[in-house]
Amino acid sequence: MKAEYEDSIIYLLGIMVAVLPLVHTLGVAIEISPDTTEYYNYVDGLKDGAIVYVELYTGIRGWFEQGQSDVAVLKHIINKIHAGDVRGVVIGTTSPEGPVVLPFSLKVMAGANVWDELEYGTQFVWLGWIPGFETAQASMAQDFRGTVPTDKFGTPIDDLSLLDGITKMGDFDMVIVSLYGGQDAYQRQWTRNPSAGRNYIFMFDCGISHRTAAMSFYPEQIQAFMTPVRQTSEYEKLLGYKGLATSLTEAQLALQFFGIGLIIVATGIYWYRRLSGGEAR
Amino acid sequence: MLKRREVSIAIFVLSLLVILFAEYTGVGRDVSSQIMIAVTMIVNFTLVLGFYNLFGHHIRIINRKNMPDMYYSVIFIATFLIYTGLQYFWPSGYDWTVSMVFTPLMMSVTMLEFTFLTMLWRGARVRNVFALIVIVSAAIIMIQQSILGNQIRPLWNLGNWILNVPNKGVTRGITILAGVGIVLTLVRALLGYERSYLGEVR
Repeated sequence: MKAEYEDSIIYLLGIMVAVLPLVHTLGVAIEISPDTTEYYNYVDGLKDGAIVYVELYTGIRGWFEQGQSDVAVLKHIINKIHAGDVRGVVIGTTSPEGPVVLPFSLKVMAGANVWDELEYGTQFVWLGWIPGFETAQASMAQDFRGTVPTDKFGTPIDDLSLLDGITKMGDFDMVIVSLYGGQDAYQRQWTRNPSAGRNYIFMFDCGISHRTAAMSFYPEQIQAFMTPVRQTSEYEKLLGYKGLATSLTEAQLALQFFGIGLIIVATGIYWYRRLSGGEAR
Repeated sequence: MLKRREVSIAIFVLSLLVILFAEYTGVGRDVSSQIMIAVTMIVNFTLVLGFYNLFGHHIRIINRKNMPDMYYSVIFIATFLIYTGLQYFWPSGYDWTVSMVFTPLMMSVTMLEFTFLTMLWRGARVRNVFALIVIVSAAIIMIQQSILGNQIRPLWNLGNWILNVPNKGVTRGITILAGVGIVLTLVRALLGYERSYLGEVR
């Protein structure tokens, strides 16, 4: 086979393998793992009018995967707001793409008709993009009101009752960072920085590779993690709905086996050529 | 007489020392906080600087009439101006552009992840024992992180061991070295040897 055709054939096979579970389900049940239960229990344990801060560092490219974690967790928090356990949720982003991502998640959640029922300013605040990335995070840690004087719409945060009494990050009861990529600035500024006066539960939604890196240094400082697709599908099951993460699980599994198959076949060809004295590349 | 460069270095070093002092002693937190808020505001002005440099670069390309780069530069400048103008003068048009142009394009970029399959086909070959260890570990983690993972207990435990022991150990080593590098760069900057942040290349 000519090398220039190999990629096209592999991509075509990859698409077919990913679509296969949609035509015929693989029948693998979603079982809840301990790490997802741990995450769920932290959110479910919020009470006494807790205030949650959610940082969206999800890029639009990662929305299909990472965005589903945002949707699932926000749905859970909103259920808790309706139950009276959580007072409200404040959403902000230090990523310029954050303001593009949130409307997507809101559209998905509006389908469940939960978001529109919240009262802006008392149960929900959207801060929009906060420029400055790590400097802004460091600044928010010790002087929240000075760093973010207004919300996304230009309303002074002094006029938003949900933020009454919030002077630094440490005044929130829970901080959730949804991260697409490998930024560790959040851990530095919001888990280790003493200026934050941290008294909150710190949760992370991120890929498995970042989870491993983060756990190297912050094992006791990050309470729970949630990875896209697998853990998010488990979370969706705990919440009792089937979202996009649930839909993606079998496609992901099929593609992973396809990838392992590619490695085995490529290695077999490599060793066959090498041992038979041919060109091994 | 202080030169412009020394003034910049002095502002940098002084601000840094105030922040470090406040961080470790708790004294002068207000001043430290104000410096960081000022930096957050300055970031917005750096965007203006970026705008100036970027436009300068593309206008030079257009003036040189380099083909086909000239067309890309014209498209870039036109897109930039239209996009910015829409946000201020026609917000609903901006929303439409974000939803119907920007977002589909960005999501299409996700398709580039097909290159992972190329990587597996061309790059992930077991040529020696070390490659075997890496590839078997990767395969275990791939399956562990799928929905099948937590239903095969030995695989789940083995995956957790790989993540929590060898993987974490190596990551920790790399991160510590990077951290030492950052501290050394900071010391060089404090002493005035490191001036790349002023645009100097040595």
